[in-house]
Amino acid sequence: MSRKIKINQGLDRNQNLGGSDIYRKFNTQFEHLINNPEVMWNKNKEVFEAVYIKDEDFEKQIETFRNSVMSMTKLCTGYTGIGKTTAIMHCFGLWNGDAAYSNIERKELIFPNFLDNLQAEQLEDISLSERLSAVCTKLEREYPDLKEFIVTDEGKREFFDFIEQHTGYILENVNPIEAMDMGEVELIRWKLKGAHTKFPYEFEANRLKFYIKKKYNVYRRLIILLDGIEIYPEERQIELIAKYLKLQGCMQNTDYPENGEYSVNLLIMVRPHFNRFLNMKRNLEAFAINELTIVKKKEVDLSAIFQKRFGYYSDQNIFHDESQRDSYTALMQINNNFDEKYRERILRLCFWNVRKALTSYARILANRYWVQQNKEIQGSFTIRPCEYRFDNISVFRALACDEERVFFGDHNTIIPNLLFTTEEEDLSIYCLLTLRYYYKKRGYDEYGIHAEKQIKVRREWQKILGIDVANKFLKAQEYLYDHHMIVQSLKTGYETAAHYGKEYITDESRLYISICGNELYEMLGEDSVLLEMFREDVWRDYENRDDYSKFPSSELMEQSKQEVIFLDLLEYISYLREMEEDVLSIVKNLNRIEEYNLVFGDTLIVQMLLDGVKKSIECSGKIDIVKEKLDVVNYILERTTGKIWNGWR
Amino acid sequence: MKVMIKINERFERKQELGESDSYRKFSEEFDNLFNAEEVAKNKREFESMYVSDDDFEAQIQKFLKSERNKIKFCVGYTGIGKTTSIRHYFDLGVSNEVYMNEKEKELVFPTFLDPYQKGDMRGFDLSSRVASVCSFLEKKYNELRDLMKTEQGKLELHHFIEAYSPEILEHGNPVKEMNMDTHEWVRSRLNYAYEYDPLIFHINRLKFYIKKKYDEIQRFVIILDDIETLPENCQGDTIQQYLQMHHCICKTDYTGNDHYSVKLLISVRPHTYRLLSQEQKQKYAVVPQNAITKKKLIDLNVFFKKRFDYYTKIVQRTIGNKSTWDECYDALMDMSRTFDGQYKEMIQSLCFWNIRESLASYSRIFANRFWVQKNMTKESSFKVSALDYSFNNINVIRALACNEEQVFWGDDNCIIPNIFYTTEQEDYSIYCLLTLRYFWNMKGYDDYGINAEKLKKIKGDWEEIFGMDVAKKFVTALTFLFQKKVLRKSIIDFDDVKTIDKPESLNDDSLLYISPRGNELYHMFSRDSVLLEMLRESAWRDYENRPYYSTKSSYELMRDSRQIDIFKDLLEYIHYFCDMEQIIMSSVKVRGKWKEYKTSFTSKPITFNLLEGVKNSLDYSGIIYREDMNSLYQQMESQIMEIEKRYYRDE
Repeated sequence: MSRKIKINQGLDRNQNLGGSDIYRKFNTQFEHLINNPEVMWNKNKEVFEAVYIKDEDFEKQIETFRNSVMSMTKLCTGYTGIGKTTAIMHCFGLWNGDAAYSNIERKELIFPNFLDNLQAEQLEDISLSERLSAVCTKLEREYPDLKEFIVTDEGKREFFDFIEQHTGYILENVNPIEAMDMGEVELIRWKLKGAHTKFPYEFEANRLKFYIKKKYNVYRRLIILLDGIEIYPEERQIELIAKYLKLQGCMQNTDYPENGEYSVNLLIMVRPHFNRFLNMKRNLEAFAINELTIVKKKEVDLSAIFQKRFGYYSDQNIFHDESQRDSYTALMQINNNFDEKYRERILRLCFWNVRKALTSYARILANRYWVQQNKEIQGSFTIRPCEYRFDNISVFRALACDEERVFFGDHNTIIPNLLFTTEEEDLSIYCLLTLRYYYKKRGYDEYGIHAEKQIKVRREWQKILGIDVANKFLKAQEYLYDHHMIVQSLKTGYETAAHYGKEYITDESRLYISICGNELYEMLGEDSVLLEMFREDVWRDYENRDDYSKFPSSELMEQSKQEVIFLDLLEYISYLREMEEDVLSIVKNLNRIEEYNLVFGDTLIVQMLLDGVKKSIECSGKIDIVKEKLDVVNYILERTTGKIWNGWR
Repeated sequence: MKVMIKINERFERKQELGESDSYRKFSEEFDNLFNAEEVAKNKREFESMYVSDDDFEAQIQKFLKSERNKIKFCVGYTGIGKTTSIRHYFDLGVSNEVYMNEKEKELVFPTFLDPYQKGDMRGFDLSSRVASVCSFLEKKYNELRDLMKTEQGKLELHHFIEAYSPEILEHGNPVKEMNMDTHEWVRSRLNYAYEYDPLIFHINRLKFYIKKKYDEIQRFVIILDDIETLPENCQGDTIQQYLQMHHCICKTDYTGNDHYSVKLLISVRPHTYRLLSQEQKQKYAVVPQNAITKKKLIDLNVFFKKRFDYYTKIVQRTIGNKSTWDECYDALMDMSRTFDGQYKEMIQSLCFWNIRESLASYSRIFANRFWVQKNMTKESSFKVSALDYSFNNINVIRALACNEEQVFWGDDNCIIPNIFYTTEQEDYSIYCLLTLRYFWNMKGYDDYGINAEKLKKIKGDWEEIFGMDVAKKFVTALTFLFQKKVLRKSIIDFDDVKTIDKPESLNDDSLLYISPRGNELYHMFSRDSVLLEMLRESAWRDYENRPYYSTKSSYELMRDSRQIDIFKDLLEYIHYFCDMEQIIMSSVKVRGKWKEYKTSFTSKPITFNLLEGVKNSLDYSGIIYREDMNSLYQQMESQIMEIEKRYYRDE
């Protein structure tokens, strides 16, 4: 009689936010070091520059771009959250978001367009005419003589003549019969008004060009920046790019002073490799985008971020020196405790997003249950390093479980449960194999550009696994997709909140393993931490098992029964091995082992789980206690391997 | 049991962008030299940078000099320089505005739609544009403006409209009009005419002005360009508006000015022309004919020289120092000169003569670290000595095709796509090669496919020569090559916006020709072995019982100083093709269709071309002098000669 339960079933949720002593004591300091509110909310050059981390390579590329002899369009790429926008803000001196900025020293007028600042309702229709008008108004404010000039009849006449030379047709939105009888001044005013009513974009573009012409001694370059378009679906991004490319072309078409210099540079921030799609788009064919793309390559150095921020707050004397130093030391301690690998790991689990990674740091620091070893809260704070554990178990538990003592695999955690089980059904092995399938296909294909269409994947699975098993893989795939372990390729368009969900997987979709899915897959073979957590959130049959096997890791550790965790993991691996063997037997019967090897690999996936568990056993020093069981599992895995692959590899 | 493997399968994509030291050092200069933007700021600079195209200019001249009213389409690939040549010919420079060429007595009304916004399409208003020509004339000839201020002038305009478009004057209230005096009546009727149909009103106004000045205007030229920047569903309507405008402007009696003519020149890309032809055919059963085509490649050396001079002599502000510019320019010229200047034309052809894309390709070559700078480790100092770079055929073509990857992937958006269609189950490579040859052999290089034959006829020929089953394989190969843009639809074909560029757009009436890219790729096979080497890395092949080296990429073998093994595998590959070709030829012989085959597919095996390319590379590398290699080569050559003798000469 099957008796399926989940270890975390029925356990009370803690749902508390963390409160380690170190975080309680240095709450304010950590808040500043991690979230940097001064920079977030206070657009101020000094603050911004004090915490900005230089990226010489990137800045040099931008410098070359803004020194172009003639007008130029370039794309700029870098992973989401890598700090493109921050670096751009630094390079161009933009402390006020979307407001235009005059760099008098360099004779540049910067026109930034950070679209990710927009509200949902503004996204639908980005009015370039209003944005251009805002730049004109800024120029009028900066140079009152411009405003005074345009108020006069002479000013209007000059402006009229200017438009006539560039886009004369916009001035024709008037009744010609009435126009025949008008005096010149009246006609000019009337025609300008008509132009603004019917052709606001052309009108404002001319107005800006006219103002720049009037200030040739001040401006020699207009720099248009387009950032944040990645929030849009691919087709919309293309449209937006076309719109700004056209604006750049339009701004270039102006009167140049004799032997003078004036150029219009357009910099468009896009996701990596997006540029490869641009040349396939017919509506962009006619535009000139310069090779090569400016790339923000430098890896994010979290230590440097903390160091800069620490330096800034020390200079500001915002905190008591000692507490400031202690909090910094604690932060650097976890930072140093993680070698390079862990720092990068957190970044990858956060999809390279620095902001999200910093939040994860805060969650680790604030974790009492796992990091401060569940120490009882007292009036005084204990911040002795020996009371804190920053090893990979406590760190990843803190990330995955927060203050819970078991793993619940919540949807919003950065570490979801990769194994899909219900009381009736167990698709764990299909999830693992699906993940391996995509892992093998991925290579370093960060955005799934070369991902295959679902129709092809499905046919391949049906061929190798038969229709029934393939259907289970498809179900596992949907589950992994729902948990963002498998995502839509850049080629099928970007995911937006509105377009996320398994119903958007169609035959034409191209899916690939996400950077986070890739990371979790690799973690499975490195130690037992993930498997331990997943074991607490899967439906399993515990009939004829001893009671301890139903205990969560935290409880077993408290009772000094760590070996029971390992024994149960070995048992679990044996169980998954049986399921994997069932799949492989079907493949073998279909005579498709060769194809299976190519796409799913020619080893047991559970072997990888066993390798991870073995490493943890070795580290724990419990090898003698679990050796017997380990040998048995080893043996049955070898036997299965031999049975399936003998003669095939 | 077959062991089907693709060499590139076990590699991971790097997707990196190149960064050779040379590019790092000269980034400013290269960025400017390869700048895809128009760099001229005024007419003088525009003319100093223009690279002439006599053939195109002669075609336009012929069109203009005809005394009849005429409409012509000007067709050319994207980025080939249509707009630039038109601007030059009509003396427009960088201006978009109406222009009066007094010497030629030519009034030019250009419409360059480049700064147009999709969202503003509803605002596209031809009447405003025509009105702007009227305003231009009023400004130029003050007497016109003075005349229109008078009641007499308005009356004359009224009479003029009455003669050509009287219906637009009839939208006022006739009862009210009965009580008006003449002046009031004229003004009211003109007002209604304008409100009812502003376009026709302004066209009449323009014709009226021209008539008034027809001693000074002999030709009115309307130019419509950059139509592709409009949404696809608006392009046809916009062109239709211009065609109607032309018709309406022509419909005038210019007594006393027999030489006066109205010309409409519409510049489009080939696919737009096909879409338009389809639309025209559907709506009016009329198809535009005898387009002016832009065929000539611009000489990139001349182009670079002009740019170099511009940046170093014309621009006031000197960027960097002159010696750096000189060094950079020398490097560029060195590359261009290699192989008798073949690269520049090869790159342009692979880019469908698109200058912007060609410039981007130059950038990619110079910035390539993996192939061009020999995958040198990046250091803080720049190594720009010529010895550190290799601009030979292997590296340049690899840089173009692979970027920084060490194997060929043949992506669709790459200028050198994979043209061997293989799957784990099937291999259509030989059909792809023969299809390529068929198109080359039947028509040679046919500009824009003007002489292309219908697909129905081609299929018929193939069915006759090969029988249904094999012919189907050729059609599969043809469809694949069409998707890779190696074969393109002729400009005299039709297209539908819903299926454009897709295999569904092909039907029995389709007219296909070998594109500049296809032509170049075809010739690359016999030039050297690079293309075959690359294609081998992305093709599914059976590696059962093959030596270890056969699954290695060229780069791996070169790195291990095993270049000889690349050639061994290529000869093995040619051997395989030879067998496949022979099977096809045997079946043709059995069917008694050898003569037809020879006519359609030339008089020697396609594998000859492949072997010729490998031979050239063997000679170049010196490996041909190795006894073992020489003997392998001789064997392969004898085998092909034997086939040739058996199939061709005996015949």
